[in-house]
Amino acid sequence: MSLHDELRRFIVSELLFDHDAVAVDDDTDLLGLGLVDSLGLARLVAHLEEEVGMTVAYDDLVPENFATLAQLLAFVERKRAVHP
Amino acid sequence: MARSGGPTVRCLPELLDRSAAGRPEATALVVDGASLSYGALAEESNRVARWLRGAGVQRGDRVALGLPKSASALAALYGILKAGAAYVPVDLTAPASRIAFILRDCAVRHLVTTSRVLGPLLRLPAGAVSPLAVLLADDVPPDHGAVHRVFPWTSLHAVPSHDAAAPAPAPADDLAYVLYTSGSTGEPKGVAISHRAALAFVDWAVRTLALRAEDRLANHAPYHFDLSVLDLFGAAAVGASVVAVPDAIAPFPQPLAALIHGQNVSVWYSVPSALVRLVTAGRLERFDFPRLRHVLFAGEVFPVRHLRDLMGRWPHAQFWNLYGPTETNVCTYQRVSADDPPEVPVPIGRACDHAEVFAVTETGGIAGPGEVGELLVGGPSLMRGYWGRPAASAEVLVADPRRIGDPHPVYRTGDLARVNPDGTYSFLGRRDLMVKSRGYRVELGEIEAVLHRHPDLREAAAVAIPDEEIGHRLWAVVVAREGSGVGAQAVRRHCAAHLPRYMVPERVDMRPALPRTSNGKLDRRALLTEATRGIDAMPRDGELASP
Repeated sequence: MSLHDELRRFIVSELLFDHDAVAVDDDTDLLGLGLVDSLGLARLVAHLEEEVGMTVAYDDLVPENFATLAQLLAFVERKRAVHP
Repeated sequence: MARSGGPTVRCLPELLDRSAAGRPEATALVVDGASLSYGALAEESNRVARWLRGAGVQRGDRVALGLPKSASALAALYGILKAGAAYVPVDLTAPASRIAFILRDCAVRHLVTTSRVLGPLLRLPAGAVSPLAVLLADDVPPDHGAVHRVFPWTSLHAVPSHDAAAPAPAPADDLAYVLYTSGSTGEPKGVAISHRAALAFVDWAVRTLALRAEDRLANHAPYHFDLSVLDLFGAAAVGASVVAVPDAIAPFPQPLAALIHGQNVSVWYSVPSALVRLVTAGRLERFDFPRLRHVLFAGEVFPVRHLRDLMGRWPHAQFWNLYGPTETNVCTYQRVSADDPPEVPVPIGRACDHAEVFAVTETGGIAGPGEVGELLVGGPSLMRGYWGRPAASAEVLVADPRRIGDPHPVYRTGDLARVNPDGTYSFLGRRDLMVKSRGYRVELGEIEAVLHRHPDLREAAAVAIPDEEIGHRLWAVVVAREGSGVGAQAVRRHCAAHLPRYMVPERVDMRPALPRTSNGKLDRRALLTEATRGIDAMPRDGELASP
């Protein structure tokens, strides 16, 4: 599974609980929907650290990195480029 | 009532109108970089009130408010009150079925919201929502068929903005708002609060914190959480500014710290977990907060270690532990001192002067120093009752055991407390299956009722695992019907369709059977022990990452 598909799977299954009222695409507003609230952010960060294998620093915890799937993917790829 | 200067205030919107008349140019609200003056807020709320009355709102109606923090939302909130109605704030992230339940439960006929909330409501089966008149803040009406009347925000332009011409200010005993909270029988229940009750609390807060026009009160809590009552109406009472914390900023510690710093917030009020994230991951050393003078927290126990860290960061601020269920709003308070013993949880303190607080022991006596009892609360801030639930109301609004024949009821909180030698109270826990998670009340019985509605589950239990950072984490342990093949994810999906996000179990364990005690009752202690054993593998809020 590509990183994009894996992150999308995590959002749909673990943050949205597969609830089908919302379709998640690259530009879905994850913050506005409340998917990335304090609980969702903690789960997402744990997933990135434990499953994707990257380190998320306090300075990375800004809305721009988590607002949409596209922004999340860009954030992860940027971090991986610096610390492969 | 409102002793904070000027003539007696009888209803909440008078706080706004007095401040608008005195200093119309003063900033009422700062949100997303824009600001709104008291004069403009008063005028816009007048338009909303006139519009609502034109759309059929009558005194005593309930009008649902489903808007994110914004100028429109605040104008709508005051407009609803000026129209003589009570506002019913809905959780914007709740599933549509739950929002629809709330609208039906308190017979809402008018809704102020956005298309994002309205769209899913309209897709529910016919009959789930009674016909509504809807005022949309975002001007993009979804296809609403013939059942509902939907109007864009621009329809307010045709409405005059001078005083709302209400027949008379709402009498103090009219309802101001209905806040829905978790109910043990499987359905949320609406806590109905009058203007008098809200004003009693607001007046106490204004005097105790010496709020003044120069203050800037952060509004962190969403409107459906009663912490917002202090932020909004405390500010309006003195003509101070509200600094809205957008929902998109709230989870992020550093942007939140930057907002408090950049907007010169002077009064902060939130659940402790938001402050724990700030002190652990907010890089507070990068900012200064010279204007911050009050830090208030309520809703759960603040882990002492993090509280001490935060007090060290903000030595010039006063820290206050507030306690009170939605049914009474804040009824006890404790100023936290740097000299307090560092390892002892902060007491919830002593009664506010608008409240009478006492504890009743298991044998029915009034608890004295050193004794433990259930907290009871009397005074003007009590709710009128749960909307449309006289039996449930009568269970908790009881005759005052100290004064036979007194017509004023007292509220049974269900919270157990110890009376300290100095007369303050220390919170110990609950008498029942209600827990706190991120400051929200969660009835395990409500989660279990939803689980039991799943056709493929034979048995189900909800477990609350104590957690230092967020109060409790929620798990479900379920037994599937033989041959049903239902999986954990399907059970979570079912919960997410019927419960607000903070009540959806983060993990569902499928079991062949639930542990039972010798007399066949669910063995909750065994469940908790088993669940706690497995908790270490789960991600934790306060340990997001190393810097």
